[in-house]
Amino acid sequence: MLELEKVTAAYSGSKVLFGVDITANKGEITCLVGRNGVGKSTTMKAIMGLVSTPSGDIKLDGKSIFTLPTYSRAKAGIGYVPQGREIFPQLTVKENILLGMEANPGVKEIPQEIFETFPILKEFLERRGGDLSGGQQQQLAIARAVVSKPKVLILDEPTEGIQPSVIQEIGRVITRLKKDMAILMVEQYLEFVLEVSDRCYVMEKGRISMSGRTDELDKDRLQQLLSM
Amino acid sequence: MDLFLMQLFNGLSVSSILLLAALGLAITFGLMGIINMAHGEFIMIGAYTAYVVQNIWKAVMPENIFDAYFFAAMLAAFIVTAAVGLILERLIIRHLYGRAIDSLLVTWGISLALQQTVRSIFGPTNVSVSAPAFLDKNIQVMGMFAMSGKRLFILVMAAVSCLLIAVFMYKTKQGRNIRAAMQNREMAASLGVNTAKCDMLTFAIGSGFAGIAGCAITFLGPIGPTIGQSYIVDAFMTVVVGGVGRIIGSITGAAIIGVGGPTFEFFTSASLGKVMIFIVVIIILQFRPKGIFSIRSRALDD
Ligand SMILES: Nc1ncnc2c1ncn2[C@@H]1O[C@H](COP(=O)(O)OP(=O)(O)O)[C@@H](O)[C@H]1O
Ligand SMILES: [Mg+2]
Repeated sequence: MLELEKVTAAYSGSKVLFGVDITANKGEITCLVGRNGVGKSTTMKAIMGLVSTPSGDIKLDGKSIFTLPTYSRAKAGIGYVPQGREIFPQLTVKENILLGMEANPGVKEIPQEIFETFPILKEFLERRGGDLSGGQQQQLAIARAVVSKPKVLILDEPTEGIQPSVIQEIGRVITRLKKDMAILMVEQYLEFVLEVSDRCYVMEKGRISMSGRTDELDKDRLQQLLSM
Repeated sequence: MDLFLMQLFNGLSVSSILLLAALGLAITFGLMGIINMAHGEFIMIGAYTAYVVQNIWKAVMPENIFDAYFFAAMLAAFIVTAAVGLILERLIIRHLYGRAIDSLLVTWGISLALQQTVRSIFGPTNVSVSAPAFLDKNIQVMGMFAMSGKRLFILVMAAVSCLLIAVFMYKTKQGRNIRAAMQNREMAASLGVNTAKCDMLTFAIGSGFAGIAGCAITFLGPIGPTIGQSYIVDAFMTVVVGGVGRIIGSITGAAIIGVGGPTFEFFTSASLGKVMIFIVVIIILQFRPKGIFSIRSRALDD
């Protein structure tokens, strides 16, 4: 379980998050939605310790990770799929996956399930990450984040710039993964959010303005908050 | 003909020294973006380490295994310069990542301080290291053309060093982590890679290879506190021409400058040869501003 408590964040002094509370439970897909530039990616970076967070607290299974450096947060059990995927272009697919195992010394070999989930990766194992298509890179980014068997998986706009068939595939994969880990996903594609998520948070200008179970949310208001 | 072959071989051996000097730079400058003006002094420290090891060896070891000092000296030179590099990285350099101009000034200061320190300990006059006897022989190839054992050995050392670095960077887990951290620090850290540790290790290894280069140049003549200065410009040129971030680039750069320089000198004169190699470098950079083997990737474009 991942808990954010009154988290603030700032880029070189200018505040972007103003006290964000989010809880993501194991067994659920929690979505964070909102218009461009409201601070969704910043929230993800705050979880990873990639942006300065002057106040608040972040807990993983009840233990604070708020003051840990980024690599220790990964080792504590957070898998991160960033916006834009951030595959290492010069490294092979295999090396990218092996890097994902850094976070968990208990994982000694690439788990074969990952190739059942993403068969394309097995085929391209020796190719360079930069040579993959966008959808393939997204699958690689997810594979890289989950090979370490994290307690929490956070994904930032995994459907961005990806063809519909791969989006469906990603939806199936994370729905399957949620029994083993808490999943927090930033997403703009509302249809996808309504289809896969269990819980939703709406962000406006660095604050959470609405939240609740996805099936109980006021869909019209949600549409309105996102479309303007 | 023989004379030309000889010149070519000498050029190759200059290349291999340049390559040794530049390998460390290819790592600290090419990979980490630190303009380390003290790299020449790391070479100098390596050379003095060889000098010290030789004297200790002479004093305590039986005479008949004198020649073996050299392997101890190489190892010691690597360890000592790597340690100096590590200390500098922890104390100073790590505050300078991403600040090229500041790093230039600060490391220039460090280079002067290191020169002065060595001058106070060993005196301002040059000291010599005697090369192992088995390297004093020349190998007759044909007619007038003989390869000096020392130069041949330096060539082999450079080749082995390249191989070691390549194996470390491309075949080990630590090397993979370093490459990842150099391509995208935030992402590497997000996957659990301790990037500060990578920086430290990378800088120490780059410095250590400067030490090996220093050990090699003790073959070529006496060494003094400012010996590093004679290599630093050519070493930087080697890395820049070859292309930042690739070992193969540094090898090519070293070949161009090391073989090209003496070849031009052979056909013209020493100073004109130097000018011509500069012109070649400028022409290359006109067409390939990022060097011959620059990495074309999103990671370096922005
Ligand atoms: N690296 C950065 N430096 C300074 N400001 C930034 C940086 N990244 C994002 N911002 C600003 O922070 C705000 C929130 O950005 P972000 O979290 O990326 O939004 P979202 O992911 O919701 O589209 C925006 O106003 C953006 O301009
Ligand atoms: Mg974003």
